[in-house]
Amino acid sequence: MSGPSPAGRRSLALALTVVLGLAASAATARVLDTGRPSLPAALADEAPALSPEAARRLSLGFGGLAADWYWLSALQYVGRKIEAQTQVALPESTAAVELDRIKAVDPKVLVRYFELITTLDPRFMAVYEFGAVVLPAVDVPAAVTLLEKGIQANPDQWYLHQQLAYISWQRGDYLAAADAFRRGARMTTAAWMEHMAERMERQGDDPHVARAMYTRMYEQAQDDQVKQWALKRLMELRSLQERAAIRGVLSGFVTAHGRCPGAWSDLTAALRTAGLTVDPQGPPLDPSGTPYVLVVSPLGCDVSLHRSSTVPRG
Amino acid sequence: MLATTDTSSAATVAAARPRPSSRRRVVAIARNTFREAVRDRVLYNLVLFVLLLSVGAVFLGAASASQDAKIIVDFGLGAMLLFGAFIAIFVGVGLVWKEIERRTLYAIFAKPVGRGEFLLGKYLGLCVTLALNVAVMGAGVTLVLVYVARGTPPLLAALWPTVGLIYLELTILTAVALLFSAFSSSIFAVFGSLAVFVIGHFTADLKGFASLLDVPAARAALVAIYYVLPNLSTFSLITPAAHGIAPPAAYLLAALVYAIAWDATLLAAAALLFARRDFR
Repeated sequence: MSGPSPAGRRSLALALTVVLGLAASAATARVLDTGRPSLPAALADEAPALSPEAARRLSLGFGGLAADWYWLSALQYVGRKIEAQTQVALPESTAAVELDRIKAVDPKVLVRYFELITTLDPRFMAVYEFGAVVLPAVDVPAAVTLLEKGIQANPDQWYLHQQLAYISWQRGDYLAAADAFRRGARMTTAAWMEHMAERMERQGDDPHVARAMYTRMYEQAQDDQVKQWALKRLMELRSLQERAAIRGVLSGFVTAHGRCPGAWSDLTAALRTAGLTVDPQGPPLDPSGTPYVLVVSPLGCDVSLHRSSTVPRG
Repeated sequence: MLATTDTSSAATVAAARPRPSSRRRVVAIARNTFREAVRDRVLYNLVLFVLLLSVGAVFLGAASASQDAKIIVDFGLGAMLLFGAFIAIFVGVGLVWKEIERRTLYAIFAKPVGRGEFLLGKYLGLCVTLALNVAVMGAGVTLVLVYVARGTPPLLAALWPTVGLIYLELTILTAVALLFSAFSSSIFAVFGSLAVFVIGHFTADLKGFASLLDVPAARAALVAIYYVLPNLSTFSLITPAAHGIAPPAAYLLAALVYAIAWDATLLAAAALLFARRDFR
């Protein structure tokens, strides 16, 4: 019985080379990934060199595709920055809302990305939405400019007026926020925008206005990150309200007994009456389902969030 | 009768002549490929490169607010990669295709030359041409840098390792071009090679994008593409070089191993496909 022919042996050797070569390249790729020389942070964060107009001309009709590419790059840039800040953050701030850690980004880089994307594809709505949430933390005028650009390019999108109103509201400019809501209200039959404009004018700093604002953002947001961010903001507002109610209950107990309660179980009935969600074992639960902590000190008693709670600490 | 005698004596002489070793056959084909590239004026691109570099050095440098050295390195190495890539792809595809078109392939295979040896010889011949090309271009960039710095510029330390990496990338592109031309038409081979060149520079980004995806299957697919296609951005350290950042020796060694692994893989695959190709 004879073995394989010389041609067969050659083919086998070549096939083996292919397999071994691929395996070696995959193994080396991992080494190269970790060893690749990186630019210093200041150089690595250089804004894209191409001006938006030059990029539009060079895109040769593939503006949408180029915008998608810059969008992904912008997300990666923001993600990298949030990740870097998470690694140096103090334990107390680890539960802060992710997009709020955006202060580490270079506004020039982010603004250039947003300019590029919206010039290449002016109807890229997610960019305006993301920009309205992210940019005010680092460059408020740039955020307003971006939204105004979006409104000009998308005159049928009342949603952008809501985003613009949010930026003004965050700055404490309630009249500008009301004006933005009114402009949006003229474009939609939904009465809530007009209603929001009136509330803004009356009492823009009211927590109920804040809740309404974040609820609308949560409902309207297309971007999942923005949705999650709005949800966390709502949790924070609810927790602030709950803690105010718990402090009221604590104050009532101290007045009645002349001392702080020894445990949450002393207050279960009162907490339930105040409309709080209470764990069967006693402690009230925050919006993330984590028990609140009863803090008793010589100065008095108070309530705080548990370390493991995912409710933002503001 | 006389004719029969002549033929048999010629056959006797041929049989008596020692058959050259495989290595010598490969070297002969490589040498011939290099000569052919020179004859085809492939190296004329160097003239264009020098012209571009001179214009870049004089005009861009003057208008760059003392960033002339950086711009020269960016410009020179970028042009080196692009020129080299076009030579590797277009000449690489032509290496096999021209032999088929001119029907000279039949004459070659009538001699004791294996198909694998033919491919390897062609590959090495073009690699030598590219090495000369890259070396001359590197020397050109060095001279311009020395000229603008009026001495030895600090960027030189990062320049030559980066030139070496560009050359490694070009060897992979040559192997890609040979792989495609081993089984397909010249047009498909050119488009396929260009696609690998473009995608190869984005595979690292694909891996980055994979981390943004929530769908595990899509994430796995992107990571698979990263490992199945050569990551050519490994060899593209032009931006760090323009800032004077040289790749460490360990990285250069790993890049060399990576390039050899891909060269071997692609050439072996090309030889496998070429061995099955029917030229009738």
